[in-house]
Amino acid sequence: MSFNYISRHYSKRKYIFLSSLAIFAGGLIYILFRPVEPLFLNWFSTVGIENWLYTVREKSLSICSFLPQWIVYSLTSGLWAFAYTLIVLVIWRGSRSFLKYFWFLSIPVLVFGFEVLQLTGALQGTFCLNDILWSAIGITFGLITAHIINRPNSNKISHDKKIPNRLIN
Amino acid sequence: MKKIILKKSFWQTFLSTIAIAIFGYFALSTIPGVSQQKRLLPDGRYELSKQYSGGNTETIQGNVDASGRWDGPTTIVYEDDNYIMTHKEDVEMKEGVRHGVSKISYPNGSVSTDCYQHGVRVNMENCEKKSATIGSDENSAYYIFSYKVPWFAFKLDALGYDSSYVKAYLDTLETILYSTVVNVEDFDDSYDDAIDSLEETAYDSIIQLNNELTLHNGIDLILSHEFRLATINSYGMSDGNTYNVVKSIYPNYLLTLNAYEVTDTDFEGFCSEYDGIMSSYDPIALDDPFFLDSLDERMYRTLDYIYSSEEESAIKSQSLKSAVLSDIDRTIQTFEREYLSQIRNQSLNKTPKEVAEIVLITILEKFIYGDLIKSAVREAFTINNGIVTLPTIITKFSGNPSSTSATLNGNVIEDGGGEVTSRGIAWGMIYNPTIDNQILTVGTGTGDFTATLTELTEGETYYARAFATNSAGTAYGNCISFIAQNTTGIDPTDLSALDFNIYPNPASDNVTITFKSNDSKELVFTMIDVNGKVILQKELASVVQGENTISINLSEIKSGYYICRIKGDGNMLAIQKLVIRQKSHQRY
Repeated sequence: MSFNYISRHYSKRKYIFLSSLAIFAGGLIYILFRPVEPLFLNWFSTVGIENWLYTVREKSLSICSFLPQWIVYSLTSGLWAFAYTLIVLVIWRGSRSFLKYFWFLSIPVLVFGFEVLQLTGALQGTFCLNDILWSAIGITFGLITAHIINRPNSNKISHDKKIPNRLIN
Repeated sequence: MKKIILKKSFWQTFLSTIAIAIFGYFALSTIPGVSQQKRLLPDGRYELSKQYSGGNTETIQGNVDASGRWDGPTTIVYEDDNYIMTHKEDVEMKEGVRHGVSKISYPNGSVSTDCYQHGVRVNMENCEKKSATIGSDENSAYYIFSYKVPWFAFKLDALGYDSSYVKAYLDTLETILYSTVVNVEDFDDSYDDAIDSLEETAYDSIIQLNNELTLHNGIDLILSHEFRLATINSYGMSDGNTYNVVKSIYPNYLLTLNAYEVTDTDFEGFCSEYDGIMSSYDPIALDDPFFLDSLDERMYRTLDYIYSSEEESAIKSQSLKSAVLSDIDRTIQTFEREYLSQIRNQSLNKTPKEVAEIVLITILEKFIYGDLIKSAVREAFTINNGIVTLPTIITKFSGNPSSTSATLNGNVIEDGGGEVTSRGIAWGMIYNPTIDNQILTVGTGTGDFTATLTELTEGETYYARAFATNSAGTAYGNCISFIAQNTTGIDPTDLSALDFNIYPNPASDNVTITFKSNDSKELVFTMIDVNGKVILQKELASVVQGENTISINLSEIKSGYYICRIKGDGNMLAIQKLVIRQKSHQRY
C-alpha cells in the first residue's frame, strides 16, 4: 500500500468528516431552534426519545429569540449545501466519466431548485433570498474546501511510481 | 480497462443517487406542513387556526388593528398530540407583536410569565416600570425628538416612517436602554448594543435609514469646521498660508489640536505641506458657482493623501502636479515654504501624516452630532436620570445701531436640567470666541436676551456667539460674524448709487467703477478682504451728479476675493464683490 494510496483515502475521510459535521450541525439547528416538523418528530418518536427532544427544545427555544434570524432560518441551507457539494465531489473525484458533470450540475439544481419551487408555489414554504445566499456560500465553501484538501496530494500522485497516473486518474 | 471504468462509474452513480435521495429527503422534511384559516368570531374578534401536518394546532384569538395586525389582549393556544408542548398564552399584542406581560399556562397548572416590549423579550421589571407611560411622558425620547427636530420627524414621515412607527421605535430603544445602562458613561456602549439587538427586527429599516441620514446631517455640521473655513479663507491668497489664517481667525482650533497633543509647530509643518499640495492643483475661479464644492473635494483629497502616504514628512507637491505647471510656475514663496517645511519636519513631535489623521478625526467627529435620534434618546436618558447637561442656546444678529456697535440676540432654549447662572454674548475677532475672550453678560435663566456690543472698530470683522452656564458647564450657540459698520439711517435719496458696477471682474491691474449719484458729495471707495481688513481706501473727489466713471489701479493688490463699497457722509451706499487675479497667478 503506497503512501499515495493512504493519503488519497485519508483525504476522502476528510471529505466525509466535514460533510457529516455540516449535516449534523444543520440538523441540530433544526431540532433545537426551528418549529417542530412532523418528519423530524417521527424519527424521534420511532426511536422513543421524543420526550427528551421536547425537554431540550423547551430550553433551546427560549434563547431562540436572541439568535439572529439568519442562523435559525438560513444557515442550515448553507451547511447542507456545503455537505452535499463535498459528497458529490468526493464520489466523483478523479473520474474521467462524463457522468461526473451531470452530478456536479446536480449541486446547484438541487440546492437552488428547492427554493425556486417554493417561489413558484410547487412546494409549500417561504421563498427566502437569504436561503439562496447561504446556499451559494455553502457551495462555494464546499468547492474551496475540496480544492484545499486535494492540493497537497496532487504533486505526489503525479509523481508516484508505484501506481501509474493512468490508473490514479 | 473500459470495464474497470464502467464499474467504477456505476458505483459512483449509485452512491450519488443515494446521496441525492438523502439530501432530498432532508429538504422535503423541512417543509412546513401548515394550513391556516382565519375567521371572524361573533364577539367581533378574529380567530386564526393553524393546523400542522403532524396534528399539532395553534389557535390565536384577539382583535386586529386597521392593518390587520394583532392588537390588544390576545390568546394563543398551542396543542400537540402528546400534550407536552400544549399551553395557553395570554398576552398583550401591539402592531402584531407581543407588547407587555405574557402569561403562559400549562396543563399541569404551572404558569410562567414573560415581559415583551415591541416583540423583544425584556426583563420583567420593565413591565412594571414606566414602560406603560413611555411615549406619553414629556421626558420621553419621542417627545423630545418631535419637539426639537420636527423637520427631521417630517423627513422620516416623508420617507415612509410615520410618527407612530418612530414613536414605537424610540419607546423600544428606551425600554432596552433602561434595562441595561446605569451610568451615563455607559450610554454610548449600551445604545450601540440596543441598536444591534434591534437590527434583526422590524426596526432594521429605520436603523439603516437613520445611519444614512446621520451622514447627511453630519455633512451640514462639517461645513462650519474651522479647518475647512481656514482653507476657504486662505485660498486664492498669494501667500495663502492656512496656518496663519487659523492662528489669526480660528485660534481655538489650535487649542483643539493641542488637546490631541499636536503642537502649533506640528500643525504649522502640516499646513506647509498641505498648502503645497493644494497650490499644486489647477486654480478654481473664486466666482465659480461650484467653488466651495471643488475646494471641499480638494481639501479631503489632500488630507487623505497626506494621511495615506507612506512617507512621514516628505514634500509631496511635485507628485500631484502636472509636469508643465510644476516646472514653469513655482514661486519663491513655494520654494521657501518647502525648504522651511523640510527643516521644521526634523523637529516635529507629530509628523504631517499624524496631524492629517487628527485633522480628519476632528472633522469626522462632527458626524457624531448628526445622529438626531441618538441625541433625543440621550437627552431623555439624562433628564430621566436627573443628570444635568449643558443648556441649549442659539445666537442671532440683530443689527448695527452704529458703525462702532452691534446688537445681538441670544435665546436659552433649555436649561439642561440645571439653573442657568450666567448668560450673555462672547465675542472677539476670532472664530468661535469663548468666555475667555471678551464677554457681555445679560442676566440669568432661560429665554431671550439682547446684548449690544460697543466700541467696535469700524470696518473690522467680528465673531460672536451666545453662551449660557449651568452646573454642567458653559454651552455656546452658533457662531456668527459681522462687520462693524452702519447699516441704518441710509438716506433713501442716495440709493440711486446702487447702479454701482465694477469691471472687469475678475480684474488684475486696473479696474473701472461706475455709479450714479444724486449729488456731488465726496464719496469714499473702500476694498475689504475676506478677513474684514480694509485693503484700499480712496476718496472719490471728482464725483458729479449723475453717471460717474472712475478708474482705479489695483496692481499692488494681491489676488483674492474682496468686498468693494462706496459710501459718503458715514452712510454706506453700495457694495459689490470683486475678484482680483494678478497675472503671476494666472494658469495657462
